[in-house]
Amino acid sequence: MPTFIRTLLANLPHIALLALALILPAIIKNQYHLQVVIFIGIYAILVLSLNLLNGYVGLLSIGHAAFYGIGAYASAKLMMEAGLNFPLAMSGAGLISAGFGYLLAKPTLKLSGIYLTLATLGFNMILFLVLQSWMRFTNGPLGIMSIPAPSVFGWEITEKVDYYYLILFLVVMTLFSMQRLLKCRFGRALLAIREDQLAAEAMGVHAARYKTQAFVLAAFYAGIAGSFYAHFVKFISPDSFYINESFILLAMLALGGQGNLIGPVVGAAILILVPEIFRSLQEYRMIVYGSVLVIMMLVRRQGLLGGKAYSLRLSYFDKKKEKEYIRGDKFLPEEQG
Amino acid sequence: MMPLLEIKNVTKDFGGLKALHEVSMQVNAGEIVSLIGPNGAGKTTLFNCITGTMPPSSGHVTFEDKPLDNLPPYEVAAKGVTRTFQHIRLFNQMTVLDNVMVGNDHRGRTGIFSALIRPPWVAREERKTRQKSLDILSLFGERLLPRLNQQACMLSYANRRRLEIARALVSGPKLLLLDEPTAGMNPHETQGIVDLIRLIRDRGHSILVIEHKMKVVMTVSDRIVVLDHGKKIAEGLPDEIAHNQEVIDAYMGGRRVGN
Amino acid sequence: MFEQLINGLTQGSVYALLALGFTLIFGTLRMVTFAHGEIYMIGAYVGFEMIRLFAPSFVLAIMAALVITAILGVVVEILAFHFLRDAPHVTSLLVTIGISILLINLTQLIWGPETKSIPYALLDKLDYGEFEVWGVYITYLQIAVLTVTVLLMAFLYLLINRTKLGMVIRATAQDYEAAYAMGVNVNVVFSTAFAIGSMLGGVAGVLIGVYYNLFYPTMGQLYGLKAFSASVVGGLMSLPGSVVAGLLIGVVETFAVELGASSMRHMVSFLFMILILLIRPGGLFGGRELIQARGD
Repeated sequence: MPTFIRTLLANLPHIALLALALILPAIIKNQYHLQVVIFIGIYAILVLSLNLLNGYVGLLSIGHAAFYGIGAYASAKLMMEAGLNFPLAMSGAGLISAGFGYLLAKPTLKLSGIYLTLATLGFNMILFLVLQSWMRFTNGPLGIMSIPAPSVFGWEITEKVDYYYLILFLVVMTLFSMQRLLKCRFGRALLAIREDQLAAEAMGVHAARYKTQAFVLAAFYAGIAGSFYAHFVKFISPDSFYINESFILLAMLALGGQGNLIGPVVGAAILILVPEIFRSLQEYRMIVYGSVLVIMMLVRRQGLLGGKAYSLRLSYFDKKKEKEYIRGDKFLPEEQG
Repeated sequence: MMPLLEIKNVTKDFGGLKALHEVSMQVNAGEIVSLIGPNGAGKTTLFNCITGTMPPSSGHVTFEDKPLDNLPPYEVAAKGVTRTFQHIRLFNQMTVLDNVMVGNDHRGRTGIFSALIRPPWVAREERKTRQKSLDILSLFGERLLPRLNQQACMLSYANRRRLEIARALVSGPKLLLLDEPTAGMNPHETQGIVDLIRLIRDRGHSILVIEHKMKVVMTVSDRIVVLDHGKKIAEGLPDEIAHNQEVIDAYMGGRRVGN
Repeated sequence: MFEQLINGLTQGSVYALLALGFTLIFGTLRMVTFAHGEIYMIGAYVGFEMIRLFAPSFVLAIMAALVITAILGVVVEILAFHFLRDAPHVTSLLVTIGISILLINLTQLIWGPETKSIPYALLDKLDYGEFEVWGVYITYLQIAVLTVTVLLMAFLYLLINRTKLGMVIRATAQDYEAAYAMGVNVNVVFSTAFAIGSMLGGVAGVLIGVYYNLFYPTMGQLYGLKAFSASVVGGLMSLPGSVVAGLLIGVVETFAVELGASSMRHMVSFLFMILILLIRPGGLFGGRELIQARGD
């Protein structure tokens, strides 16, 4: 069998999923349902970015909604007041958010364990309070209204279907870029730091630099998600970026499982879908989130899909794979003495 | 000839308790030096002082004539000094191969952007690291190679010790610090490590090893340094140490050292 | 000026009570609880119901709040700590976040999301009068809040430093394994410390609830987080530190409003916390690092 077909077959699940995602709007005609799917996309990016910190480097951030908010406000402001077009505003939002990530990470990363977590909490609270009280810039609790709809190089994004394809593109890009980042030197170093920072540093891993980079990246992705949110909902107010939002992200990550790229997406999808499917649950949304956090931590700490390194690798992209060393493991005498 | 590693008057205080007191010693290029001494003599503390894990309270550590003290651990590693740990510290959730590849991290150039864009040299670098890791793992014969994709925590105790050595060795350090590499191993496995230490030396790495098993120490070492209560009490060739009365009294409780 | 100081101290003493709870729990269990603000809120609601249903008595409200929050504290301890002793730090923290979300929303189900108040007819019976000192009006309620706070702090001080239980708690806080080896039932100590910490929170809830006469499900969130910052500013492990930090934050907040920076009011505590984390992670009075680099 030619390699081309073999790699194609190996990637069949990915391709099938992507194909399904592409024709989804043809299946889901209901505009509201499509909107729910779009929200799954937003949260998937957010939880994936949180996963970079909590799952890969082992830093617990409980203020991730701050970067989401920074992205949303930055994007709205860049487009409405600086007059940038949407792609620029979105990239700008990501970069500004990443900049804040750097400012927060640089001084706080030398703090150990719980102190870092507290700093992220403080940052989230301060950001929320600033958004709420800086009337001239953020319009305070009233928020920013009628944020313009995006258009990408002439593609006017007005319908839900357009938004769907945009978020699909963003999610795929997020997954693709994360996969590339994590399956190389960078990702290995992050995992090593999570597993044992002292040993990693003794092996020559510059832990502080990698952690800062991870923080900046996570903030960037969250900023992109924020930008999309702002232009999709067209209205942003500080309440959407309160510490509760960070907690929801944590619940999604806890449910899906961290340390791989599929768990966060699954977690986000379930926790968005469940309250939607069981309409009666809508009112008890937060109760569902709270219970999920408690029950998952007590019963299955690693999350539904945690603890395993699922590969999203499209083997088509790295054809020159080395020969695997598998030499009849079971025939070897085990630790002869 | 300048010594490769020079330790001068290193003292380490833990709030009044002197774990190390004015210790001086050298390791020359191509040498295997053993560091012995009873429990609590300060051997591991000396390792921590060399590698920057715990900077010394006073005194100096120089490596190839450049100071090592006050450098963070990752820079010490980049200068060519790597170590293993007394209590095994592997990256448990990572595969055997990835564990070793992390050891080569500071030799890599791939950053965030190059990882995203993947110019051809990134793939080349990745392949090179992988090949280097496989080469190092092949030093251990059939112990680790068949288990490349197993998680490190699934390995047997002896294999975890071997993996630690492989991880420290992959970046080609000039000096390798081994902290009780044969602890918990049976005689057969111990012999394997002894052979391995010699092999590593022959590949051009110098070795400073902490060891408790006298048989290993006496066969493998070019020179032996003895610590007791944070002080260096003797230094010399294996034969001299074996007959040094002070060592026998302080360390062995009067029993004869050696075979 | 003096009036603002009294207002600030009243506010600050409640932060201090809450921060003491955090510190006691963190010091003993090495665990950060995010449910503390909600325990405070439950305490407030219990006090509210007591006054509304039974009698306009401060003492009764506080007693009831003490009992309920102590029980709640033990439940939280069992869920978030007892079952997760061997789990990483993070796990307990996430459980308490979950519990906090649950408590807020269950309260919302039971009492409704709207703000409740004690009817004025009842409130008057709580001796809501005021008196004048040097031209400054001080309400009896403020005096009551300050008195109860000081009494509780003194009680906690004596408990920790002068009793056998306090000794056991201190021993467990230092090294629970050693304490366990010495025959201390550490499980009971952990539960007790959590219960005492929660009771302090519950009382704070009653005091502030009655003081402002506002009860709503999310009332504990901001207070909890602020008090938590106070605890961090105080050093996370130091009981006197958290009292000083709590009072300080209360006073600074009040003066921030007085000086026209009312939007800064809620930010004060978090800015303090970040500042302290950056320049002096050991807290105001210095302290020791909690999580040390594991040397080999």
